Amino acid sequence: MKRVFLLSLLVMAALVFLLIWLQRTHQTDSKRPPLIVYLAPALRPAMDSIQYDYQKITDQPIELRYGASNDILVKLSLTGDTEPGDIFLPADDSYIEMAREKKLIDEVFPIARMRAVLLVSKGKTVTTWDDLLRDDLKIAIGNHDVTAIGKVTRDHLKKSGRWDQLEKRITVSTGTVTESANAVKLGSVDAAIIWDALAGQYPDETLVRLPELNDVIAQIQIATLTQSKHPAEALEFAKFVTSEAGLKQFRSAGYMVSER
Amino acid sequence: MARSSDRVFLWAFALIGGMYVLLIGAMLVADVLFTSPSHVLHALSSPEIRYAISLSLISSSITAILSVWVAVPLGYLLARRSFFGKNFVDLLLDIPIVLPPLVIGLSLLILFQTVPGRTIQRVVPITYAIPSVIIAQFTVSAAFAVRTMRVTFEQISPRTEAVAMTLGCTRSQAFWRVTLPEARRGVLTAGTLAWARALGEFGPILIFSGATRLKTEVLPTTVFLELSIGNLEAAMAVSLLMIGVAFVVLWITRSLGMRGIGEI
Repeated sequence: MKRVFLLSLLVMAALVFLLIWLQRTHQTDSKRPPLIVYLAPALRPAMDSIQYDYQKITDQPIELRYGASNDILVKLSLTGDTEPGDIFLPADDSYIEMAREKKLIDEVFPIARMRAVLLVSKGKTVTTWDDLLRDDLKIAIGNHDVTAIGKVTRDHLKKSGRWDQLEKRITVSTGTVTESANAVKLGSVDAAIIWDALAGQYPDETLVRLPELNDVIAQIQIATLTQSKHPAEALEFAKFVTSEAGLKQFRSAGYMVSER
Repeated sequence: MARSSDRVFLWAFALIGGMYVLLIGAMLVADVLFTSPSHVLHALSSPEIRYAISLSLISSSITAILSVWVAVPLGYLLARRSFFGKNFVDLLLDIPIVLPPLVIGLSLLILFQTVPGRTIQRVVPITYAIPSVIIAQFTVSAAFAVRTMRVTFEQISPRTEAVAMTLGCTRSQAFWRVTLPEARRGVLTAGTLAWARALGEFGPILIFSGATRLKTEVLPTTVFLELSIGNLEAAMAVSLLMIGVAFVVLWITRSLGMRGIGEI
């Protein structure tokens, strides 16, 4: 059995060598330290292209670290000293406000506006607010304590006196707005209240704009972080994202970009 | 000839157990029907996903070996020796199994922000780097491996080891020459269990390592990233790739391991 143990040592050495090789082959050649961008994964369709374009133009490596917006906030607070981030790009502006309260935010730039819409499963007909309240419909919405869609929708509908009607009809509150949309795609619910910017990622489902949800609006914003060790480079990147070159990527991903 | 009561007994067991097997089989069939070969091929053509496959396989294998290295001595001590605080150690070893995965990730993140953690990071970057993937996998997988090795050593009679010692072996020699060869099947099970657990690990990795493409992205991270943009077909294709890879590796390992034991 000692030979087996020695063999395991050899295998371990080979695996570590492979790991180092894997890491080396995917490192960028640039000598500049990467800008660390913490962002919501829902923004990947636009940001992957922007990262590629920016690195090509400037030779500045960009490291995109995806994560749920509230998880990112925890990380920024916990590891700000040892692993400072440079840019924060959450799923919606409510997280920017939370980060601002923690004094993490330096400068903020608007990117796009999002409006609440209804995503309806294939084969279901929902065109009006009254349709949405039908007994035979299963409805999903993001949890109003952890998602902006849930919170902003609840606050707005409370003002218009419609929240109580809707709340009774909600089948499931999800942890993220994407989970609600995925539930519609899978058919486990019939309709979900989501941001219109996400709807482009679900071409087989029907997007319904209800007048009752017209004022449920949030923004996508990019922020530079106070903990950044490269504030000038971070600012430059944030400006690139909000320049026409960056916004066109958001536009093609289905976002209503903020007019210059 | 089997008695009818025996047949009823065996059929009842087959029915109860078969329901679980059917559930797993039905899930796999549903997964296969949800995606298509073109989605799987498209996933394989992505450099990010190929990197995630490589990192998943290498990190899971390192984790499995590390887990066995830790599980053998710890399992042996827990099974064979009495020592102060044994019950407490036993309880402590259950924590990675019962804790929610996200809490494990968060705890690791906090640990590496303490003074000793920062000191280590001055030498080797851990947080949000590849070593964090292995540490996150190891934290959970090793607990399962230790449990397996403890049960294995408990089931092996200490008499053979005692006989070896009366014949002149030291405890170390008796362990290497008698006890460990008897525990080979358990070692193999602990290793494969740790490997499989590590391959599917996600929660602690997401928090402790982040989800950075071509850096800390493992296959479960890919599934998360694809789900986040509503690309369920791609997520499912990656999941099927993961199942396929796991199936092949576990089958080969078990076949080779059992052959060594003399069962095949």
